[in-house]
Amino acid sequence: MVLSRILIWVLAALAMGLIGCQSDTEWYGKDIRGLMPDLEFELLNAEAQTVTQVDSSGKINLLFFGFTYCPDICPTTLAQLAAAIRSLPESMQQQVQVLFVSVDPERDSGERLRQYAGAFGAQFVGLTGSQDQLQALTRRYRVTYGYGERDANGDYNVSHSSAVFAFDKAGSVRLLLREDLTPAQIAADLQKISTE
Amino acid sequence: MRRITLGLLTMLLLFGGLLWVWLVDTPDGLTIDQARIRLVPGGGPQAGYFILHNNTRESLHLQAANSEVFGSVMLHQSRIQNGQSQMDALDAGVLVAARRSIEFMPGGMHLMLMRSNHTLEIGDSVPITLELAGSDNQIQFITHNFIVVPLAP
Repeated sequence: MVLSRILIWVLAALAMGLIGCQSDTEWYGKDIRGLMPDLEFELLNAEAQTVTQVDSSGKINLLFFGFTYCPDICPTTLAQLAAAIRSLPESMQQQVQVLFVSVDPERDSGERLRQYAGAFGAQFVGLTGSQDQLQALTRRYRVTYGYGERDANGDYNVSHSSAVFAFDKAGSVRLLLREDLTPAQIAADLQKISTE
Repeated sequence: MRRITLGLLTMLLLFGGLLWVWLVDTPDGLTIDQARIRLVPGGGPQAGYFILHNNTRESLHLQAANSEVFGSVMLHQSRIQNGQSQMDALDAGVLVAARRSIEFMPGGMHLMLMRSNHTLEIGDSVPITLELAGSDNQIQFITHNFIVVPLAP
């Protein structure tokens, strides 16, 4: 009897916890309004043309730094974002864009960048830039990148930020999406940004 | 009395069975599950994943891997530290304790597969050989077909 009463209380507490998980003011990602600047960049697309935030306006933009010689972490993060986008209603999928910025311009030429980013979906845009452009952007979002030593084959590792920055359709900074979020959680945040 | 005898007999059988399992190695001392290569387009390196079961009574040391299809196969570990993604070569190899398994999976340990000699396609089967050393430094090789799978299933 006592046990069943405890059980009811535990279930009630769990239910309240679940309902309260995402109230109007809560996000799965970290709310970084006021902590990070709004979307602004000057980079090169896969066709080596200069692009800026103006080319991405009117969409919810997700900014992620990586490199195409990254076979493990980058595709894992990008596949998470792809799964989140695919789970959105079709009309909303077109409103989201992922800016995959390669911090390895030496190896990431246009075609490679286009194929790599495009493999995750039509919403994925591969970008890179000169070291000056990349440094300006990474400094703006207080992240870093670096290159490891070259091996005998000339290959090298690149360290880069694991963060995904989310911006709303006006280009205002909104969220930092950590790598441990599930596609369902990311989708819920995107939907919330979109319906505001 | 009869119940005690039956109980004892059951325990003896159970214990004997456990002892048998412990003393006798399974016919397949080393087995591999879920061997796959996640196809990353663009011609850059690919990542190989698998679960390796060491069904023997001996701890083994996974020290290298190779494949005729790739110019270079390395044991790598990804890690995220203070918001930075990094990849390290597992130069010292990986211990696979007796009767234990290790898993190479996205975001963790993986085979870094570089310079394939042909363009890989979904569904291809690529043989990769793992090299393991026992306590007596005797090297064992296990070759397994890795299936090429899409990036985002």
